[in-house]
Amino acid sequence: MSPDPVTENAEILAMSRDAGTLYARFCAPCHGSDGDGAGFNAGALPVQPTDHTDSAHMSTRPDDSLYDTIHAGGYIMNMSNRMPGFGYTLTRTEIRGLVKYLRGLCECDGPGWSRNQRIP
Amino acid sequence: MPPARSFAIATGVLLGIAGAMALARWVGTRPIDFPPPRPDAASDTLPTHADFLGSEACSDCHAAQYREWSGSTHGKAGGTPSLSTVIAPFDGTPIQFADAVVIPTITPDGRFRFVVEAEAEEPIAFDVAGVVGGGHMAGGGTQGFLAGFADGTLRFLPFDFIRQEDLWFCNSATRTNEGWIPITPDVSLADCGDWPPIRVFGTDRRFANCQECHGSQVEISFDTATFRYDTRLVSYTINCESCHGPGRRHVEQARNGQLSRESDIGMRSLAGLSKDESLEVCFQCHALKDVLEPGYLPGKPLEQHYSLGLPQLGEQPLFPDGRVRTFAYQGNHRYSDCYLNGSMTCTDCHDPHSQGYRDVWGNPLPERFDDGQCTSCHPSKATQPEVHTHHPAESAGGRCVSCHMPYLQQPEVGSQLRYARSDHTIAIPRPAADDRLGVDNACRQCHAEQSVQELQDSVESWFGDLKPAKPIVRGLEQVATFPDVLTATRTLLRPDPGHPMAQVAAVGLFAQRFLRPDMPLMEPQITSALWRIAGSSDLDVRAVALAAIHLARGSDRRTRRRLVRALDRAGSDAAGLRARWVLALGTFGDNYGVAADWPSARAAYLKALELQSNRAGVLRNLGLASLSSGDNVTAATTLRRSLAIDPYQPFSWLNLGVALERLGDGVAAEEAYVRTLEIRPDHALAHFNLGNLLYAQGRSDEATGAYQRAVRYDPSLYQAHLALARSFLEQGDLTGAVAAARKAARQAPDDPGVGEFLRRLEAAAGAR
Repeated sequence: MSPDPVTENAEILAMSRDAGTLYARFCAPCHGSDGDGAGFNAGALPVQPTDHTDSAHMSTRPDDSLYDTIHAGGYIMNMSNRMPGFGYTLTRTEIRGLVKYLRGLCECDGPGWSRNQRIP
Repeated sequence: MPPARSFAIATGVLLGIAGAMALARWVGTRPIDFPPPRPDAASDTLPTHADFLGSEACSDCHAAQYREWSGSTHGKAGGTPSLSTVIAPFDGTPIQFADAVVIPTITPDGRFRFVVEAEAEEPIAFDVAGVVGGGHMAGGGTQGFLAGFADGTLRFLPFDFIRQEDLWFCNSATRTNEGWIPITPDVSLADCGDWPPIRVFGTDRRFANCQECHGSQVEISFDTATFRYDTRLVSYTINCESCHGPGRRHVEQARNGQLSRESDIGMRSLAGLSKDESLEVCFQCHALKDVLEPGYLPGKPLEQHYSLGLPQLGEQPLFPDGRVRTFAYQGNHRYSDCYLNGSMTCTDCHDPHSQGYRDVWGNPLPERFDDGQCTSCHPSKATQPEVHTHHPAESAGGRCVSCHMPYLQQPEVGSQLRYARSDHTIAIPRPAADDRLGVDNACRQCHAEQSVQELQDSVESWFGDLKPAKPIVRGLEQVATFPDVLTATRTLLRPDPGHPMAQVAAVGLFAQRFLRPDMPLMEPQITSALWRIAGSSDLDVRAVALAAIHLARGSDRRTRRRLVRALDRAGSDAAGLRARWVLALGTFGDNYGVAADWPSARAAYLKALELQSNRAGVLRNLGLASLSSGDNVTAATTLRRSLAIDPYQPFSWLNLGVALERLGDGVAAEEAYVRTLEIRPDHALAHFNLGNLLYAQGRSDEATGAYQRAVRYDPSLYQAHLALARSFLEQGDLTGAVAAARKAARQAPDDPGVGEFLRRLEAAAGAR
């Protein structure tokens, strides 16, 4: 069953402004308002938050991995459990929007083999 | 200046130069020795057997956990025989072999007993002391039976029972090599590898086994005064202390009311373990391991006693991607992406007490195939899973584990009985690549009617390019096709592939394929790559890299100094590093031996001894390599050195006897065979060799007795049956000769010489 790409993208694009708001609210305190990993909480954390503008790193991570991390938290990715999961705070659509927002921050896509995967 | 003074000065200068040159020569040829092992600091905190109390000691305070555990597969993993623990029929229905009948029965006083009635033998009764397993496993569950022996060992009997097929079977691996086979009237008792019983409960180097995981705190020790064994265990179940460590201190504190006042509760909490620490609790049993040091008990540091990575160096039990090639356990989880790039531990899916299934947050799940085990970490797949699976949501193919953790038959078991375990490498189905490896693809579990190409086409149409395997894994798959050593270096000797298990396998394979002992030169790229790997934080990786360097260039002084420094600077890791380094070199030697490259085998063993000169096992293997290459003098000397360190090695005594026989010293050879039998009275080869020696000396009656004992202890030893037939023939016992020759022919049906010998005997017997 293939999604209608225009509708899908339009929906997600419509969310991206909200994605920016969501990022500012939930992500920026650690990851920085620009996504560079230098949020105001960062100095108090035992590990450096991921730099979402690092295209070299972000291009190694497929979209579903970004989705899973936002939803379930850093622990499941063998990263710091200081990053909570937002699966009970955000809707699936909102998380998909944040993934799209992250792609904008790094100006990159995921690995080539992952680019035709769709997250329902 | 007066001439005499000039001459004196010149002479002094020349002498000085000569002295300096001599000193330099001496320094340049002085041996560079590895630092000797430091003696272990005595510790009174390491547990002893007396520190383990059994699960019942936990039940009062931890009733809920105890209740859950009691109903779990660990809690029902085994026990003393009873109607509730035994799943096999002990109703007197005979187990019919071609040459024997075995009757499982319950005696009037309640003992579970096997009575073995073999041809021309007195019946032997084995009372079951313990049962192992209960047929619990979904992929194929079995039950084995232990009996006590006069030497103090508990040994597995060859008659196992499998629940799903509801039949008796035995393991033919060391005999006819057909894996696990149902017992039928076509099967000879000698076809069963555990007949006569030799697989002891517990780990002892005099027996080729490692069986302490089929119970709790199983220990076996050899009394050198009585030549008897002392077998101790706390339980045939897998008890609380198997995971939590010894309970004595904790229980004492609890009973003394000290727990609330003490920060030390007398037991390590398992709740706050790191990923690897958590996995090691399970890998005590659920992983292939090489023994570094005997005497492990829960609560002791696992890495001091076992290596999890080095088993890959020998018989290669795993495929390059970690799936099981011969026989292995769930330790191959260390190949999974969920481990390498995630935080996944065993208890993320398996409740440690009930062995029920749960999601990563600890929420119980209704059954073993529930997607919640996966979607709790992969919520992107939780909704509309058919988008990812391309199978209807409620179908078998729609489950995560159907594709990613299929039940794969353990190859070494063969194909006659189902003994499959879910694939803990959590692989991505790649039909074509799986087929090249020889792995049964997940798709074919349901779609056996489709060709590999059809399956590959389906997968590619759904997913396009598949997520590639890690470069080091791809490299392992391509080992046989590398065009040159530098390509292999770039692929296999990557500095940090983020995959310790594959890195151990890669360095091991590289060494085996491209390195030789004492190479005159090694390419700089190889040298630098191996030294980079030798800086790994993983002890197994570090050790195998150092072993490879030592093997190839250990005789080069500069390299040797650097190797010595590597060991010197290992600090608290030195003992573990050395033990692994020795093991790796020993395995290189074993591999050369398999290829009958005895000079290289000897070189590898000698290098292992440079690190630890008193390793009796390495000396033994060096002696065997010398024996195999025909150097009987060196073999005898080396085997004596091994026996001077550990006089209780039956295999060393046996081969010393062989060496001495070849050197013409029959008296000493006989002593060596007798010594073997003092330690292992059931050693069939020792009886056989002794028989041959006695026969050569004209002591035919004694030889006959030795041959009879040889075939009693190993009825598959057809050469012993033949020798016995010859003895009977010379004594005029044609009937006995024919019977023995028939047994030889049954064990060696394809040997024309044996068949011809039997025909002549039968013809002679018929003529009378």
